[in-house]
Amino acid sequence: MSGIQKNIIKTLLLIALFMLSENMNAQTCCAAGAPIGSYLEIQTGDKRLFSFQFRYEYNNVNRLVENENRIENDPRTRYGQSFLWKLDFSLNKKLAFSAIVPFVHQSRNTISEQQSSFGIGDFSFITQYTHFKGRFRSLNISAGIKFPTGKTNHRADSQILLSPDMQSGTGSFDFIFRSSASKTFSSLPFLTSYASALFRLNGMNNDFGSTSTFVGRQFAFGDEVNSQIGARYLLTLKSGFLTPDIGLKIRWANHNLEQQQAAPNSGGYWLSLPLGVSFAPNEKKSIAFTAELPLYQKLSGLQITTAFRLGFQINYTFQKNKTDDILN
Amino acid sequence: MKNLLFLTILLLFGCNKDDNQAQTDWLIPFDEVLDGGPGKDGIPSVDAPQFDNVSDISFLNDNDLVIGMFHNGVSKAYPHQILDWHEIVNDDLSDISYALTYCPLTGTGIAWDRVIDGSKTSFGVSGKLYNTNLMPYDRATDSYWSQIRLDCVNGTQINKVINTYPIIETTWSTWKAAYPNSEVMNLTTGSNRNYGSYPYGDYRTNHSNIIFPVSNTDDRLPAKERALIVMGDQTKKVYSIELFAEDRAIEDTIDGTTIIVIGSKSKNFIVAYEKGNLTEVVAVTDQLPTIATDTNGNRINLDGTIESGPLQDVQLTTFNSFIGYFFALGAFYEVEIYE
Repeated sequence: MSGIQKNIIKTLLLIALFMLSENMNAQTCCAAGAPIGSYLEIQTGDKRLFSFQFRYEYNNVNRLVENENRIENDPRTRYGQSFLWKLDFSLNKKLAFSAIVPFVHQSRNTISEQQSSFGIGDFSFITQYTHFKGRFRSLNISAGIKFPTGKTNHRADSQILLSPDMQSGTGSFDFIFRSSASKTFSSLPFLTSYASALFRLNGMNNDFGSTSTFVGRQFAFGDEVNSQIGARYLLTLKSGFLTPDIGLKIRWANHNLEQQQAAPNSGGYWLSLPLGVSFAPNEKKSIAFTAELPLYQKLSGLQITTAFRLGFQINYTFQKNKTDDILN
Repeated sequence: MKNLLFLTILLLFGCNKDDNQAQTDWLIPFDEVLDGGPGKDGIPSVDAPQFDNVSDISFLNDNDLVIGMFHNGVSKAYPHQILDWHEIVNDDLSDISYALTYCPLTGTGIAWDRVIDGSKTSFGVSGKLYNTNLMPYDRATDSYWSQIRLDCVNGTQINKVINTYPIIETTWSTWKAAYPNSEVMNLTTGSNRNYGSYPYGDYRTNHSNIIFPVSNTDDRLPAKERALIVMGDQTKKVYSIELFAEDRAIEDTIDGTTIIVIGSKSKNFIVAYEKGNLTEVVAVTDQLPTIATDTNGNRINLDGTIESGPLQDVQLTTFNSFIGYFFALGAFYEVEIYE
């Protein structure tokens, strides 16, 4: 095992220990659905290859918005953390598969209580088909399924079941469809533009909170569409490749469903600015930092929503012969 | 790689412990106590309400609902526009202290006495719901209460029944015509909300939209039909607003007590008083604050005072009652429906 491998293992071990300690110290509780949308692209190559990715994401949810207007003095503060492990397997240039295992930590504080939860989220399996991938253009389509493996019975200090949005899992089968394309201009060979669109069809949890004496409630998160355009620039350094990235992301989410009815104060439109920078010392390894800032929202009713996101990602490819796409 | 696999397995199994413990210290089915989402005090109660005179209020429309309180000749009105966003207002009126509790999901407004066992407390919004109804908590003991059950269901005050004060729920146009000199809660609440908008979409009128499940579904009347429930010790009886399409006074008997239920759909109020020494009562129209008179010429005001007649200045005794959406009343009580 090389020194870098050891360091990676050490870092992951520390993160895992942190997560375990969070779990032990948590007052019990919350978070719903890990944000896997921006994390789905799979590396492909001429030959079979495995790659492993770990992503940490911090979601600060402290922006109270009614329709288009920001509202001050909300008594709540919320944030979420996601820890995603992703294993990719590329069969050939065309076909690749991915498995994602998330862990989710969420915190909801008011002036009178502090609640947090940590637990395993819903597993996802994704299949990606690369329609073409060349030096200057690429087009992928992918489809996936999210299984209800996540924990949906996080309880508060009082042992009362926390609300669905505070759970690690959704309790439903969800379906994910995605397409992405990129184009590099021959006149600017280090600049790549890209676009992606994702549709997430969310299923219904028909027995959220059910017990032997309570039938539970029906709940579903709203279906959603995410679209993003952006550009990244490949800089060659002595020690590797540095790739800054800037984009524009539009998200639409339908109302959540409670008891088959549209839940008030859910769904809407979000426009945000994703930023990122990644560094790859070689073709096998890369590290990336991301941020996302809200630009505009038009929400249904009053919602507490994302103020900013920060992310950190490590990629490691185990067998690598020749790939075109080092950095996602 | 083996280390990673090991850590992943450890996390998978380490995090799936079942922390659901049996609960025996609740008066209501514990599993049916639901987390509404915002958390405790995530919906902020108003603890220092500000008031203006009726003539200074411009943010209300004639059909907007208000809840009125009366005591020692003073009256105050609390607009639904504000209560929809805050659910509880802790206030005082003359020598009484109360929490005006209002649940937008069940349409129930009830004034709770804030003095419990001689100690004054305030109530906050716990963020929990039982039968989709508000569960206030008292800040002195952190006990949880059920608004429609009118008792404490968890905590050191468990089993205690809350004292209530009479209120009147009606439209702004009716209120200002009846009580032009009253005080009205204004929008200086300590929070910044868009009070002109209703936060629950079509919930008030969509009969099939009941956001959280209830333990008993009573569909004898449309779910969101507003009705007065009179709370006898044994008998709970419901009087729908539809009974009062024409202004009307109904004489009825609840657990041996004769009551008069007076209502008007056009003016949007229903009140229930003990009949006492009144004779046959009939509704009167368009003479606010007078809403009824009896055959002896006693003129009865909306707040139950006898304005003139042989019983002048007598205050009728309010029969324990409150208005709510029918589905919610039926979820909590086995109700009779006045036909």
